[in-house]
Amino acid sequence: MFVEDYKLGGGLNEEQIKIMHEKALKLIENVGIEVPHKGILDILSDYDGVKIEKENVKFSSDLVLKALKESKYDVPDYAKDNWIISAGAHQTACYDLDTGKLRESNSKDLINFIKLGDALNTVGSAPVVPLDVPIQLQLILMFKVAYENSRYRCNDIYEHMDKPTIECANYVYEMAKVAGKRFAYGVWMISPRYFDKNGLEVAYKLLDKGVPMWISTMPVAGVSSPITMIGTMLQSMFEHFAGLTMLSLINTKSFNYISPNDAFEGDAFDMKYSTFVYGSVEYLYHTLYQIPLCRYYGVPIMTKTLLTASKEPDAQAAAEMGIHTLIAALAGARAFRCGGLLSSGEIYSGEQLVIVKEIVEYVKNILKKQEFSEEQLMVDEIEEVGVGQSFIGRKSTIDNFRAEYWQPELFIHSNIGQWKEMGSKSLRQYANEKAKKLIKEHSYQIDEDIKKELDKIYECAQNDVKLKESFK
Amino acid sequence: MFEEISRAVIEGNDEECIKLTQKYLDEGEKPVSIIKDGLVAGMNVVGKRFKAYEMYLPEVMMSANVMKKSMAILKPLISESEMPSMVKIIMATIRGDLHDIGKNLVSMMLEGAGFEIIDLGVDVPVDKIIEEIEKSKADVVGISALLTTTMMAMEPAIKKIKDKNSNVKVMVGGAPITQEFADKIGADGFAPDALRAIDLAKRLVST
Repeated sequence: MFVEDYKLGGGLNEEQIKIMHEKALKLIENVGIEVPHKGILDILSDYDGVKIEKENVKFSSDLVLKALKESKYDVPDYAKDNWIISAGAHQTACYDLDTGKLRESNSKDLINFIKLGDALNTVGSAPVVPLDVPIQLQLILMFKVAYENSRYRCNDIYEHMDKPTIECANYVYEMAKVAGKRFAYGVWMISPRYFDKNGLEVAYKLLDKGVPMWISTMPVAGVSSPITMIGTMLQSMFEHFAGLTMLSLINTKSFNYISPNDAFEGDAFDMKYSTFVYGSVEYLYHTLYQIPLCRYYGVPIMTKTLLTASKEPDAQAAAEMGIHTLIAALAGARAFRCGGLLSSGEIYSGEQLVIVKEIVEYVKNILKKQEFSEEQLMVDEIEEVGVGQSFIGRKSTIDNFRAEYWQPELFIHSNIGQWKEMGSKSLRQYANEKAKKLIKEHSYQIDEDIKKELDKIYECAQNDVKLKESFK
Repeated sequence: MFEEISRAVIEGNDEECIKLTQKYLDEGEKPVSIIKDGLVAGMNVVGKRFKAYEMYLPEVMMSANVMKKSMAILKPLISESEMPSMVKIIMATIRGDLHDIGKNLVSMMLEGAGFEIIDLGVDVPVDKIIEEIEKSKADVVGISALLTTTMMAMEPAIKKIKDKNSNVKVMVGGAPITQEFADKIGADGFAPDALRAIDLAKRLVST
């Protein structure tokens, strides 16, 4: 028998979700989305239930419901029933682990942070952009390095990296095939309710390959969607459903899905500094709306609780992430995104990722199953240990103390004297040391033959004039 | 030679330690050698590992208990002249303070390290400590305080102890105590935790 699980009460209820669901369907039917791509419009025009006026496309509710029903999420085994941390994506600034200074990211950082992420068992996209290589090679190198140095990176539903041109997408596709990784293409809607033409063009050209495709959108409350978070969530549902329906009608050779990474995203915006404010109270509310919506529609729950507006791995970062992650976990989330990111996603920090891992472990330990049994009550122990005696050397203590007490690695429990003796180090110093150690000791490498194949593909990309032209 | 006994102490394996102790005695080994080269050597490793945060308190206590059980077999077999002279340490929580978890931990650890402990308990008046020093001829006094209000009683207590027994060393500890405070009040030493109290006690008696 166990003590009852801790849970968060309140939030969107099923009746409210159904109301939002109906309103989203109506918006898709009556207002529609803009699809600025002739080839895709031609395909859509063949379907009953699709109304096209110039580039405006409306879908009947039947088509939307069918698309939702047919959407598929092939959650990898390692992510099933596990606590998942997804770490970083596309950051162009990072904290140097040696100097502590903020600077542009390069290929060495990419390799090191990929290794660090792998050592910490994190999933997700490649952490930083290698700005020291030509722009057309940056993304291809991010996938290559991720495949070569990590077990979980860039190869499942938690990957959400762009492939900005078809030439680039083809290289990534070839590399994924060689490395035995999954390839998927994501289409982003731009709120309010239209698509990027280039994104549609790449999707269109990939249709023959039969690759899974996902839809994502990120409406911003008060900017590209209504100021109320609930209104923003409705717009997010509307855009996700409409986008998914479009994919289901054009990408018939594979399956389509709502990206769990940004499912039902609704971003918060600070009207004082004109910035996105991940880690804010409002963004936490978005998470609380997102979780029941994901559950209702069968989308794997992936929350962005590891974001912070703070510029350094400091108290603000810890408070925003700790509170957000705990509340999301109490609401049922077990997968957490954006580890290692600072300043609402502008900066990547290896130290921050190490701290994030500790924060998630902390939350995990709060919510671990607690047994209720005669053995746990230990009546015999209470009876046997005499007045003034100690339980410390008891067998029951020896046998159980590791399970009863979580021993954090970074949040050191020493007293002042011990702390001074250990060098009076800050949490960030400990995190820095651990990050460097993990990078140094990281050993995973993809099979040598596969690496040679990846090298060949990358060499082709380096000499590909068409690829270079596609980025102009 | 007594590596197996040391290992049994380190692993907290009392059955094995007792069995080996008996085996070596049957083979004619000297009890003093078994203590010195087996049990104490094992506890020294435990101490080092605990200090390096590689072993945890319950494990250290388990090892100390294992040592104690073998000591109970060996001690009666040692003549008074052979018995290594044990350093005596009086332990007490200062007058006005009823907290004893820290003091007890230090006592247990010191005992495990081979010191003879005279525990006077909590809320101990300084006169009682002085009386015990004279009676037992103790080498060291360990005074503990948890409260910032009671820690202030340490300074006059140390002064009085030193006035009466200038040779006795006084070490202090407890949550609010720092090295700076210990220096200020005239203590001979401060340890931030139970294990470091062993090092401190060893240092104090060697000077």
